[in-house]
This record gives sequence, structure tokens and C-alpha cells, in this order.
Amino acid sequence: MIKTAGAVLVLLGAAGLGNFFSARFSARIRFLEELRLLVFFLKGEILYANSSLKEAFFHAGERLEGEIGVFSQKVAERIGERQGMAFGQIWEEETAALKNLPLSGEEFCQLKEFGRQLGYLDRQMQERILLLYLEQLERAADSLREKRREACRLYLGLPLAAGLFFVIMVY
Amino acid sequence: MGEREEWIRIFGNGIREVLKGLSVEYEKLQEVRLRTGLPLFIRYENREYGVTAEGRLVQPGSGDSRRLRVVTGEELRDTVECASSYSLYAYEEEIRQGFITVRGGHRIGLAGKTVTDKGEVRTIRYISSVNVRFAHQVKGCGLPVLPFLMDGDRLCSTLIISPPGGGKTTLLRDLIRLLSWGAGDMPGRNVGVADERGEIGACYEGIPQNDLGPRADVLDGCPKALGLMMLIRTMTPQVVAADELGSEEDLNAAEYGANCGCSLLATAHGSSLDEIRKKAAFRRLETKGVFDRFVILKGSERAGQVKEIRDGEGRILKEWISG
Repeated sequence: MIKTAGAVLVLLGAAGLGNFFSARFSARIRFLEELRLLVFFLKGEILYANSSLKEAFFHAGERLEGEIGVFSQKVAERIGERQGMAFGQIWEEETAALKNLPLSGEEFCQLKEFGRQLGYLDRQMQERILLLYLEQLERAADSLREKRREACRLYLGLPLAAGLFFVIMVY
Repeated sequence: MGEREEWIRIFGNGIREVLKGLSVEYEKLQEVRLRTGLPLFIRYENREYGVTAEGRLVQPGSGDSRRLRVVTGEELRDTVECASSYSLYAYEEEIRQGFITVRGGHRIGLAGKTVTDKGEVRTIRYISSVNVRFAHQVKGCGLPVLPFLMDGDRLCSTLIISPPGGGKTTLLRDLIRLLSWGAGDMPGRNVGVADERGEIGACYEGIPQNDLGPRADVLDGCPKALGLMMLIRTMTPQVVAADELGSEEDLNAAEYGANCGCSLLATAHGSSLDEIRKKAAFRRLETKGVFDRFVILKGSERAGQVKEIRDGEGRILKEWISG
């Protein structure tokens, strides 16, 4: 009886673990899409409305929901405080404060680099920086979308198989 | 937030720390000059002072001047970044003219390596000199002048003349305020302000931060010539105002305004009426009788003080004795 309960718990745990990884994979795609939306809004504000970074982040934050919206508004707030530090430093601190980002190491580096370049020189330069980051985001999201079905099946199946194997071994 | 905290926020951290220690009255502070690898200077009460690393003011040439605080390239870059709210690109048009105007209406002059394209300045890279000129609203400075600018109920079209730093914008701003609010028996009137450089209204997100009265409509950041035309066509002003007329387009727009029944209130660089007359475009306007009054200021050594007021034909209406 206890063995059976244990086996059920192991299988449930394995399935839960699989679900967690699968959900995290989907969240990663969703987060990249939200970032893409943020960059789109920033592009509009900077290139067409000639807004300052503070206004651009504030307005983008108003239109975005969730963590990205809060992040965008927080960056605007920090710029507004005019503490005398470089924007790169504000960006670094604010990205570091984002907890449990569903991003790979490379994606996180790209996010940090994007902020370091922002605000520098003229509008043409801003356009290039925004377009470059948009392209990087699109490429990353496309690549993940392609792998999505396969990866989710793997994330769900592999822990379950491992759990089953463990149960069989114990029985 | 106090005025000190506000003006100090223009600067990056390194310079900010030094300026924080200074015992100066903000109202008397005129300029802060930063140059890469060179000492930090300020202009205070019409005198130039060096700033020591300990945050003390010293007269250049005195024994203490060897201890002057030297500005680093990084501090200068931080200041430019900070002053522009990390958005230098948003000031592209202004940078082409060599300055940016920041919150509060303070003008930051820039010098460095210019990038040109087909004979026109595209931007300034490697900024090596920064001159922060503080805009102070001196309420009431226009009161002694205003009666001489009136012809009954009508405001005479007026040109305020002074060299750079002579207080033209300060006087113009106060005249706008007085006209907009109304002074004494004079009722307030609608004033359209073409504020190309943002120095008159010091607008933040479109709202003037300086007191321009309840009847002032400000077109912020709009080229003067275009702004004057737009205001006349859309806002039905009784008075139109613009700072630093200079180009042919500006003067054409001014002439158009004066011919549309509006009174014109403007400023121009110069030290006397004769100097202004040497410029062909101004001479043309004078011949056509566009300006009925000329207010000539004493100059940068006595910022904001009026030397004389002349009528449209150059006759002195009022002269202030130097003292």
C-alpha cells in the first residue's frame, strides 16, 4: 500500500517537474514577445514622437502589462530621479532586479547590451540599436517556437519516463 | 524640491558633489563652465570664479587658483548625459545649433568636434566644453519699461536689443507675463509665444514652468518663423513674442505678424540700435516701420539693466543714467 502511494507520488512529482519545465519554456517565448512589444513601443516613442527615454519608457510601461510593464515604468522612474549616474548603470541595476527571468544567458546579455547602447548619439543610431535588438529578439523567439512542440513533449515525457523507470526499479 | 537640488541635478555625479559644497545663492548664479582637463569655473554675481576641489570659490589668478578642481572627460560626458535625461538624440536639432535647453529653461552650450554634412552641422561628437547658463525669472523687471511701450491701450511692436548674456530673454519673459496677467489698469491680453529654444516658458511636457500669465499660448520647440505664423493663424493673439530674431525667415514672419494687426515683442543680439541697423534685414523692417520701440540693455556686465528706450525713428524716449 505504501509502495503504491510512493509510486503514485513519484509519478506525480515527475509529471509536475515536466510541466514546470514545459511551462518555463513557454514563458520564455512569452517573455521574449513582451520584450519585443516593449522595443516596438520604444521605437514608436523615440523615432516618431521624439520622446525622451523617460517618457518613452513611461508610456510603454503604461501600455504593457505584467513584469515588463512594471520594469519599464521603474526604469522611467529611475531616470526621473536624476541621480547623476549613467543610464547604462540604471539599466544594469534594473535588469538585475528582475527575478527569475526566463531567459538564456545569451538572451540576458543581449538585453543588458541593448540598454547600454540606448540614448547614445542621434536618432539614426537609436533606430539601428532598436532594430538590431528587435532582430535578435525575433530570431530567438522564432527559434524557440520551432522547437516548442518537440521541447514540450520532451520536457513532459522525460521526467515521466524517469519516474516510471524509478518505480519499476523499486518494485 | 528646493532650487539648489533642482539645478544641481543637471550635472553628473562628480561635478554634482563639488557644486553641492558651494555656498552660493542660486538666484545670483549665472553660469557653470566645464572643459575637459581644465578647471571648473562659475559666473556668480557678474564675476568669474574658479572652484577648488574642496568646493570653495576663488578668484582666478589668486594663490589658491593652483588648487582648482579639474574636470575629467568622464564627468563632462556624464553631465551631458544627465542634462539630456540620457536622450541626446531628442535634442538633435538643438545640438546642430550648439546647445540644448533643459528642464527649467537653462541653456547648455556645447563645443567639441562637429560632424558636418554638405556644409551643415549634423551633430557634435567628443563634446569637450559645456557652458550651463541658468535661466532666472526676474518677476517685475519689466514694470519700469512697460509704460514706455504702450501707446494708449495698444502695445507698440518692440525689439529688445543686447549682447549675449545681457538679459534680453529675462526682460522679454517678464513683459509677456505682465501683458498676459495685465498690469495696473491695463487688462490682460492674449500672448502667443514662439519659444523655439524653450528658454521663455521652460516648458516641461508642453506646460510652461515659468510664470507667463494666464493668457499665454506657447509653441514650444517650434522654429520661430513657423511658430509665429501658426500662432497668428490659429490662436488669434493680440501680441506675438519670439526670442532672438536673426534669420531672414524670422524677420519675414515678424513683418507678417506686425501686418496682421498683432503687436510684436522680440529680441535681437546687438549692443546698440546702430549695430542692428547694419544688418540689412533689420534695416528693411525699420524702414517699413515694423518696430515702434527699441529697448537697449546695458550688456552682460550689467545683465538685465535697461540703458535706453527709443521710438521707431530712433529718438530717445527714456534714458537710464549709468551708475
